[in-house]
Amino acid sequence: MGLELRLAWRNVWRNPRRTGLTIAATVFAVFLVVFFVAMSAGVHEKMIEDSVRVHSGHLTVTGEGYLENKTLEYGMRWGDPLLEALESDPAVTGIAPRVTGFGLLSKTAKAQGVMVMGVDPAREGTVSTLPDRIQEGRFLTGETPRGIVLGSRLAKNLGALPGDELLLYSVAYSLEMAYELFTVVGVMRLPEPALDRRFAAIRLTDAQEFFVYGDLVTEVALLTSSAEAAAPLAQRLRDELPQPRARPLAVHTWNEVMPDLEQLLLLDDAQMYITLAILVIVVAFGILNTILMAVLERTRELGVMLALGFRPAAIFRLVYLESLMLAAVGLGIGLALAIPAVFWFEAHPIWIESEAMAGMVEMFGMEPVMTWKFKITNPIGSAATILGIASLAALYPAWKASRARPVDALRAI
Amino acid sequence: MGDRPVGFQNVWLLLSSAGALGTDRTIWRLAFRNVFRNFRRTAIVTAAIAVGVGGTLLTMALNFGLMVQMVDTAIATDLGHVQVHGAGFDRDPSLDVRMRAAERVGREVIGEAPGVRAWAPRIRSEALVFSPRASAGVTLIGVDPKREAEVSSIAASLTAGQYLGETKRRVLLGEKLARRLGVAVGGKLVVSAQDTSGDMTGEAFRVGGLFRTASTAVDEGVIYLWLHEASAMLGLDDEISEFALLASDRTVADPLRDALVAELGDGFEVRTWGELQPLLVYMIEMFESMGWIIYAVVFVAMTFGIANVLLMSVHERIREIGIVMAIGMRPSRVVAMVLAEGVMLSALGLAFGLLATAGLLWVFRDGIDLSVWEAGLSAYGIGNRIVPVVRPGDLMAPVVATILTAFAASLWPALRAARIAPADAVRRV
Amino acid sequence: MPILEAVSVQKVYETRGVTTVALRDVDLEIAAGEFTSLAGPSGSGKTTLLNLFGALDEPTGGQVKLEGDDYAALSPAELADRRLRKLGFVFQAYNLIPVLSAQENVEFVMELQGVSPAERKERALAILEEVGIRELANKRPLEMSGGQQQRIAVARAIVSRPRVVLADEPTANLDSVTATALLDLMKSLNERHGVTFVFSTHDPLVIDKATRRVGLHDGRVVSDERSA
Repeated sequence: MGLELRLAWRNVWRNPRRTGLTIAATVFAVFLVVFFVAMSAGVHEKMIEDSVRVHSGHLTVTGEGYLENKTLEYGMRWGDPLLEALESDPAVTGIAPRVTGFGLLSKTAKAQGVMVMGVDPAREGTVSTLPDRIQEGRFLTGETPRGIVLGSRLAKNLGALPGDELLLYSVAYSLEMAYELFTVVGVMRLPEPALDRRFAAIRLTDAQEFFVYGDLVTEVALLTSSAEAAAPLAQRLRDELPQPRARPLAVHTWNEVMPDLEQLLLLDDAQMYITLAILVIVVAFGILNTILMAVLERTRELGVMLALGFRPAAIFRLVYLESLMLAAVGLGIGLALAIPAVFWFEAHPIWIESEAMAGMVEMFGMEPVMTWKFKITNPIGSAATILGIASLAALYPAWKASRARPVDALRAI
Repeated sequence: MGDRPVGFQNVWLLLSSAGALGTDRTIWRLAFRNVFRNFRRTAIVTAAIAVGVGGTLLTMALNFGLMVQMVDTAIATDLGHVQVHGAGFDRDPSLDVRMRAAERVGREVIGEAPGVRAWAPRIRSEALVFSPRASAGVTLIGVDPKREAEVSSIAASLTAGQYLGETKRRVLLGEKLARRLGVAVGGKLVVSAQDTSGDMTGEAFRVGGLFRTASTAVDEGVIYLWLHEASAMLGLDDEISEFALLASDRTVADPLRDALVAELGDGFEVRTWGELQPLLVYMIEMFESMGWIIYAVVFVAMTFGIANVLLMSVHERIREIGIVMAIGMRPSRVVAMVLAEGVMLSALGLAFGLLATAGLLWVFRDGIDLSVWEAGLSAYGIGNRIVPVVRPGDLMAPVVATILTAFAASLWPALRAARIAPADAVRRV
Repeated sequence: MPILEAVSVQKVYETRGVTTVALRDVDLEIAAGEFTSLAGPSGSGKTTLLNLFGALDEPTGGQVKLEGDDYAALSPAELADRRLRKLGFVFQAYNLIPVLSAQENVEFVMELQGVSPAERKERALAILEEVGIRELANKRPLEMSGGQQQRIAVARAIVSRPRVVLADEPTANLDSVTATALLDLMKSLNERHGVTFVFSTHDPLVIDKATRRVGLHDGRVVSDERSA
């Protein structure tokens, strides 16, 4: 084996220029693959984090059927037993119970259809960034009776300022008409214009009273350490949470609540991988060509080796090894360049300058920043891919080489 | 080989070779023969270029097809090519901003504008919808059924029941909304909104039909009524919220808008689909700049491969080139020869790549089915079948990239070929 | 028992419609320890016969035997084994592996045979000493003259202790002084180690040194002399 390794290595460097170019191409490809996969991982993770902190949290606990129907009918009981069960799991870092309903909000002459969300002022901030988005006035507090916070566009359209009184009008859980006066305590800016135009928040207790909901809520949003921790936590909760008899609890992960986000990320990934695949294939052809040319130049020498007793299978292995070594050198250098780069950018994310791009991203509730994330699967996957491709590329030249015959050694030309 | 020429000499060589490339036909013929000398090698590098060009082009085409679909869906479902509102609607899209003398304006100005293919009047208002089971906040749109069908795709998107027509008190809603409210065709609904005098009104309707568009937003949040019934309910008198217009195609929206702005004057706002939804325009721009980046990356990778092939080709012919220079061929012509070879290789790859892409585009001319990603797509208003689209302008990027690659890859080998000293070359076996 | 035997051997080549008869009905026996030349003009079949003796090619008719074993009856693995252990080759040119040094080239076959590193090194250096180019041990073939390369080729052929060394026009690219030196070397190896040498050649210098001279013409053996 040592002989073959030595021979393979030296053969690789026989034509330094040719080998160098091929290695350069490989380094280029490896660097881009690792770099962009890390970028995608970072950006996607940030997108998920930003999105879950706008509203849904990593997990949402609801009554079964709420997600499909989103009506008050599918509520769940909120009380100490459930709270304790949730608090007891160390992975849960934030708990926010809510009552979500619809209504018409009006200030004298103007009315607007709104999504009314009853939130627990003390707990809401543990899951979402809602309390941080206040532009004027302040967020709801435990003490403010009948306070309401409006989305900025909603406030503008109604001409409402902190201190104004607004009428909220809807249908309660009991199917009676519900209407109450609320006082504006604050105006907040929600990133997505459509939401900003029709969102209002009131205290959870006020919502339960308004909708005649008792101690029910429509959902409990939970925050955990990361998106990846969501699924295992969901499974645990499904097994552990006390199940009421009337309607079972359902635990949903963020991607069940926001399937469009998840699929957007998948689509984005798919596109990236396709482009990277094209890149890798182009480089693979380069390796194929290099190795093939190297083999064809050595017909005579291979004949001599066979004449001396080298086996065709050994020749196959030799060429195969040369291809792997070529790829390995490119891989090594590429990783040596790419991994530090990823770590550096992980520590120094890039903020997007372009107004157009920034505006677009902010509309989805995300910060206009490009982040990188290093995951060990990245270089491992890249290495496997490159070496795998090099193996494939080696097949034809290696086969061709093993078909050399000793008699080729004796040809005059 | 001989002494290294200085940098300046290299540049001079390249410039003078360019001249030879343009005028000398033998060089191209030689280049062609040389390219096919080693058929296998040429085939491999050509395949690499074809994959690079074809793959990237197809991905771009798919992406662009996605964009086009998104835009077309938005235009068809709701935007139209141009919309006209009362002044101030942009900031306050409520019933407070409305246009008076709607019928006359529509008939005499909107309908007569140059380039208008169809137009439709609409009333927009926020409303609440109540079913026995549930309630929801929606946007209510009062339409003229006949005109609306010419401008938007709602009539064509019906999946159950009937379009608005003769029967009074009928409402159209999306399947998703209907499901949430727990109603089917024929079911009862109460629609409640604030009228122009500030009072809450509520009137009963029956579900006339259900629709399903490519946009979740529309399916979950919009209901359609007959314009007159909406008008009566909200206390309007020959007043509407907007006119939606279709031109011959989306590219002539701008001139139509300009004509209308001139005609209508200050009391109105006229905006094109791009101005109504800047998001769409941003996405298209971002997509195009990304395209160049992807081409650049893929083509840099190819440059290495092409350079390698050319270097090997030159190396094999050292003796031959030396002889040819010994008998008088100028270095600049040798450079031109190698450059021509590089261009030829790249052009071959490009040709195959384009052919393959054309083939795939034809195979997928009815679109590629992406229902797997339906939720994501419909959130952006994109249907499940994406037709890859290649505009003639899109071909510019791969062609330019190919030429640049050819030259970049050929530079070094060509200059090396020029440096061959005939005496040394001839002595080699 | 003769070490090499050709029995009624025929070799016919077909390339692109052209039929060439390289050997017609050749019977030849080589005994152990002989220093034999197969001579003749080009096209006489001498190289072809050498190839057949070396199991590098197959006869169209007849048999070729090494130590009584018919090559045709052996599997490719067994043939490779014969080439490894029983035969040694010296070609006209391009004998050596360019990426290996002289010493490594000589050690190459021993590595294939599974000889231990220490023993390989010892034997390699010894044989390089014997052929007179010990000082070139670490140099690569491209750094040496043609004559030196051929010496290394001979060293490699001998060091694996084959029964027979087959040499195809080994002196063709050498000047007469170098050629003579090389031949003297091979002769002394033949006498000292008892290795059989068979040459295919048209070089009079080689023929002169041979103890047995076989003449070929048009694919047939036309003369066969032994000298002291």
